[in-house]
Amino acid sequence: MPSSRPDKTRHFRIGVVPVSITSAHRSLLNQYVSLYGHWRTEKPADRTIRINVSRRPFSAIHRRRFIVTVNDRVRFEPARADETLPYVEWAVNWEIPKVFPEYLQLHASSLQMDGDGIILPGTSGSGKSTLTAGLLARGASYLCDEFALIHAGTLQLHPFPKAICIKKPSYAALESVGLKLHENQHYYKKTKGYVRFVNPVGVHARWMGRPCSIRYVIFPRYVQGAEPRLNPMSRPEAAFSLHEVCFNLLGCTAVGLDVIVNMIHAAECYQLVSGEIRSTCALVERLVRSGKGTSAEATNIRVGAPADREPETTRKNRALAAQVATDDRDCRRTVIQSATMEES
Amino acid sequence: MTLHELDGEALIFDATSGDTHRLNETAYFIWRTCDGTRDLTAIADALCDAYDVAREAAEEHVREIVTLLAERKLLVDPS
Repeated sequence: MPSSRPDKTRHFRIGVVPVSITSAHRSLLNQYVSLYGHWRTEKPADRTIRINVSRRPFSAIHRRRFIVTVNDRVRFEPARADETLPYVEWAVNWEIPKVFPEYLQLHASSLQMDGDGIILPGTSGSGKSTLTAGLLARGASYLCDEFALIHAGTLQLHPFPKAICIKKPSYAALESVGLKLHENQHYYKKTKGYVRFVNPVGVHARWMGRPCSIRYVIFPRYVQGAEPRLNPMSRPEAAFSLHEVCFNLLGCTAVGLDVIVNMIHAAECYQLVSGEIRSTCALVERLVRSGKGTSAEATNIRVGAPADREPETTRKNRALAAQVATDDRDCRRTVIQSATMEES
Repeated sequence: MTLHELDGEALIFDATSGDTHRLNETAYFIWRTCDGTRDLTAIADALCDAYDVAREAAEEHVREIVTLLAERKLLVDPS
């Protein structure tokens, strides 16, 4: 039986995503308001994502103490109080493609620098949140640390400026760039261990990005101690990789691949080996500045050879390679790759 | 199926199965050349004409790529 204490509801509109959260669990509401108070609204917005968190009465049988429902469906049953807010965030994330099918949702951080949209796609552990926070601290405008929300009609990137979730091993890196972790509150995520949040609101005067076109697609991969470097990536490879981190390929109002391909025509694509946060951020900034009329040589960008191409002299009559990639979702992705040959 | 040509390569999306396939430049060339009128030898000839590739290697590539394409249901039997 759920708690009999009166429920409280708070409404928010976080960028393009409205959320209404109801709970009798006062500390959870306080935590959410503390992170998202900037976005509070008096009334629920149209298509608000309704979250309800209730508490099970004590039971020797049930280890799960909380129930998180989204739009009236039970989504999670966390066992620990410090897991609840991360599960609320996760529940909102999962609901976005259902409620807002007009957006293609990619697993990627998103930012705006000098008016250009940048997405940093990658799965958990690639370092995208830490890099995003670092770039924000150095003056980039923030859109989201977890998703790129691309409008299927306009191909523009839209803001969902949720709090930035930082894993414990990255706390020091964030503090080294002058960002404050939000309050002294730790949370627990099953997949990430202990985490804290960075509240992006007001980090600097132009902290929040506006809808913008995507100019750079950068796939980060954190390698401890590595010297940061950018390797150009072919657009087909980038499009295929983006396709793999898309949450609503089939559920979007447009065909997901169409959106990705149309968007990527106007983008530059790179793989980024990221290391120490300040030098990695500086490298990304130099890349963006180099696109504003300053040559790459002048800005000293360390750019490697294209990752998917061999030098011309070796591009001949190589043995056929076929690589098949599959994932654990409904869709299957394959790469059919013949030998690289020179055109006559 | 929807086909996107991007920088000489192809991305093919099968809306019925949800499968996506990426064909590199030469795999895409072979796929395009499978027009229902040419046999493997003729496709290998076309590959040799278009690319700097030895005849024997071309035949082997064509055979393997056509097998892969058929396995992925990207080719249909014209009969």
